Amino acid sequence: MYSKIPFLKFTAHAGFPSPAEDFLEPGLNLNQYLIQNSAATFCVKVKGDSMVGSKITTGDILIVDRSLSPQNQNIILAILNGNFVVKKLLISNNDFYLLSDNKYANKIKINSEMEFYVWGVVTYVIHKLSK
Amino acid sequence: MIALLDCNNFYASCERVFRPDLMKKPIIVLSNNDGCVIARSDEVKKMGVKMGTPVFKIRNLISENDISVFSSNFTLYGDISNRIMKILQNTVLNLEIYSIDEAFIDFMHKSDIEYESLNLISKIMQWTGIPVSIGISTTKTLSKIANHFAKKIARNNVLFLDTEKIIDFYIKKIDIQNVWGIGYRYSKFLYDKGIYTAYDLTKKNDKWILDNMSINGLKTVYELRGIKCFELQTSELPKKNIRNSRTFSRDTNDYNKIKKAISSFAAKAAEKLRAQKCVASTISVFINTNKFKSTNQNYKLNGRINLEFSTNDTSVIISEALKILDEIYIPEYFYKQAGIIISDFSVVNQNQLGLFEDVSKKIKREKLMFSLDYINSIIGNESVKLACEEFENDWRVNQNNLSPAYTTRWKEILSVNI
Repeated sequence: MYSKIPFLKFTAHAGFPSPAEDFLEPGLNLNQYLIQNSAATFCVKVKGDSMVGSKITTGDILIVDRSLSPQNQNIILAILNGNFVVKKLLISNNDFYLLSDNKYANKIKINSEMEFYVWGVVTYVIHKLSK
Repeated sequence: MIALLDCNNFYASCERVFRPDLMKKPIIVLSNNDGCVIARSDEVKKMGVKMGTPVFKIRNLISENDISVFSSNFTLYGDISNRIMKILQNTVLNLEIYSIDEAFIDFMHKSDIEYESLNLISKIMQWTGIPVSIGISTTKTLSKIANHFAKKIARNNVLFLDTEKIIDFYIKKIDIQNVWGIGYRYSKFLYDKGIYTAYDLTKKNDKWILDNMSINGLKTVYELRGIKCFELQTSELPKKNIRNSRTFSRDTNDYNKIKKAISSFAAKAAEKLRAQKCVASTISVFINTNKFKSTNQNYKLNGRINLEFSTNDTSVIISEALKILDEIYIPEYFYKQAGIIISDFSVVNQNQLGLFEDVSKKIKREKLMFSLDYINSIIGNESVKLACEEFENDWRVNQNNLSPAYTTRWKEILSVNI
């Protein structure tokens, strides 16, 4: 089977130059759109449906930016007692809650006995429409 | 003021970023062929496991303490290292990337160096998950010492050696073999002469040092005395030699297998050489027997060839390397490791044509190499190669505990159950 290998483009020496030549721009770059800070950004695949309310479902890829400080209502990737979790962070009166975004809406209050820290803030979800 | 930033237990820390279940658990990372320990988490250091320990010697310790063992995942470590260096490049002005996990920073005459260092540490920790330490002093050599102790005793991972009194205190504490630029060979010699610490060495006179340790030894001593001799190399110099070697998964005396391996290394080296737009004029090949097996004495066989015409042509480098292999190979031995080193580089267009060199052939070959690199860059590494090179499965490196390439391959990204 042959596959087409694009080879180097040579500029034409004859004919008229393209009037667009001076205006050419590189195509749209999705990295530029989805990633604000490449040194601190990671991609994570999810399984499970505890966050369907936030439009995150099995097989989706999350863009996680570790450089952002987590704010109230952010979706975060966090470590809770040694395990990764994806939850909605609620902050009220200096208390932290982790909320599942499905019909059960489990709410966990973080206390000092738990090992808890935020791994990163979820900034985008890549969701394929037809599986 | 010069700072050395060094990642703590770098390879082990990289593994931990994606394995929060191992946060306070003991971890080791093994060398290329799962042979020796090349990184240890603090928990393992406390058990007394030394760098370079062959893994078979600590099998019991591993199972008794439930130590997590990883094969080295340089794809991952390289990516995390790039992220850290990028953060540094965007934060500090004068930077020398010294190794995969170390960088020198020149803080010039800034006044708030400690504050700035603490900020850097927390930024790198937050953005990448990697803990780092910073040692600061007046010279590169002293900043290395500062870093050594920053890891050991400083609570916030920063140690600032500024006054003569503090510097003296620490150079009296550091074993001479842990001083940058001294190394194993000199340290033995120095112990014999009754020199045990960096401080002892600074008290020797210049002539004695020059006579016994060459000019670089003297520079090291000046640096220990606080006089700058080694400048930061802020622009990346092209590599002076390219080395490519691997350990066989099982000792072998199969000539064809070794030949294929050498061919592949030569091809990889030639490709790297072309990528930095250089040609080389010296090729060395080596084959080593297994030093951990008592039945086999430790033989290190090597040979070198100086080429008439400098080149970066894959087929020339392979055929010259195989000529060397032919000469050094002894069928009675079983070999553990094989490799190639190419050196004596010059830049392609500064390279003079040989008087008897066939120019039209040379141009054709250059085009061929260009096409080879181009095709491989587009449809994947090693899509096109010479028939004498090894193909998949010829050479299985032992990597039984390899973690995913979390940050560079879509199929291997971190997967989380939610």
